[in-house]
Amino acid sequence: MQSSTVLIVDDVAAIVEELITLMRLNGIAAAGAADLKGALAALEREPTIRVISCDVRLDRESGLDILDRIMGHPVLCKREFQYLFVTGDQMQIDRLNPDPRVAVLSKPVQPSILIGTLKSMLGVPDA
Amino acid sequence: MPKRMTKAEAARWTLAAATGDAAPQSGAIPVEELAWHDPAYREQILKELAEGRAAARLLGEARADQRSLSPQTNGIIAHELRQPLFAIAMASENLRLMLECDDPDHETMQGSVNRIAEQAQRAQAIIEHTLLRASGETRIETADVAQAARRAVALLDGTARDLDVVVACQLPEEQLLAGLSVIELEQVFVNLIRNALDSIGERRTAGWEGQGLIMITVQKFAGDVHCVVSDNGAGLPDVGGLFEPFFTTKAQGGTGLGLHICREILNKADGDIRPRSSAGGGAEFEIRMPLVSRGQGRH
Repeated sequence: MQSSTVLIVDDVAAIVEELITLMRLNGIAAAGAADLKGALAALEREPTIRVISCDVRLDRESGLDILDRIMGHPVLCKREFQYLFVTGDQMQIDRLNPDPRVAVLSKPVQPSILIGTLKSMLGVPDA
Repeated sequence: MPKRMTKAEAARWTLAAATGDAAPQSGAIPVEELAWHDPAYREQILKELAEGRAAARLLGEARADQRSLSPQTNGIIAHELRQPLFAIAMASENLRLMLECDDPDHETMQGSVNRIAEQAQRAQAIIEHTLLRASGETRIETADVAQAARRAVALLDGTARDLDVVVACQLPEEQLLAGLSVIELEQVFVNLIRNALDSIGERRTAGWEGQGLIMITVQKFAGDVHCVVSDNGAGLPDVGGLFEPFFTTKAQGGTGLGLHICREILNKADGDIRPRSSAGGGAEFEIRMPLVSRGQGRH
């Protein structure tokens, strides 16, 4: 099995499942997590992950906190990640825009735009 | 000019006055600023109170206020609706891509079709729930477990036939109600049947050529509904974490959410799910949920 390069974080299982399938159909291997704890565990387990696509509203957590969690992690803080946050909240988008590592997409996201953005972040040419 | 108290505050004040209780505190608004100190307002309330009408009227207005949707509530509902719409958009795109393949994976395609139907129902449920809330009603959620099992079997009938797997059911004639919606119960059975189909497929990949069989039984057991979904597939993995999210042993890269979702759903109705090896060497999942009567379900 191909090593995952993208991590999908969303508390809705149906969305994670469909996004993983969408990635696979577009030649991108992805892993999934339902919350920040699961996300960190997946990143520890899979050293090939380079891009994190994260929903901003994760049940009782904020997806944005993943940035601090990774910075505070003794091992993960040494790895380079790019972040794609998916949100319907314009204020959250404004808060994130200055960070060059971060891309933001506004819900509802068109599948082709999502794939195009992820491919661009991974440095894969979009067919 | 005194600041008028909100209707909810006025209702609490009026009730306190009527019952002789101490007047309730009104959050951050100082008491002297409240409209209670407006003589005209106070006179009107006292007049209505004497007629026994004030509390009912003010409480009614306060409830009407609570039922009208705030911008924040609207935002939450919009977010809730975006989730199923997003899942539907992804599932339909996946279907489109799979249809373009020379050798489409019918099982995954069936999964996407089911996902679209399931998420459309979810969106419908959110809308209905919102409308019920706006009208001040509540809905009691109960569903017949056997009916949900039948719906799940019908949903996956085509896939089971394609894979040459027999799905047999022993379901009761009488209604056995559990405190979940029919969609939630159906989701539990769909996930278990899908896992069983995958497990039988896995055993066949290893060279087994027997008849695949999935057995579903639902029966009343003391004060519980007792269900068993068993198969003659590859059996349970010899590791823990079966119900943890994203735990999977599937070679084809399952997402590992099915059993986790089952347990989450059943826990809502004080139910439980337990795995064990079946007599035929496959897996068996035993579900227990408290029986409820109509009107006694989860609000």
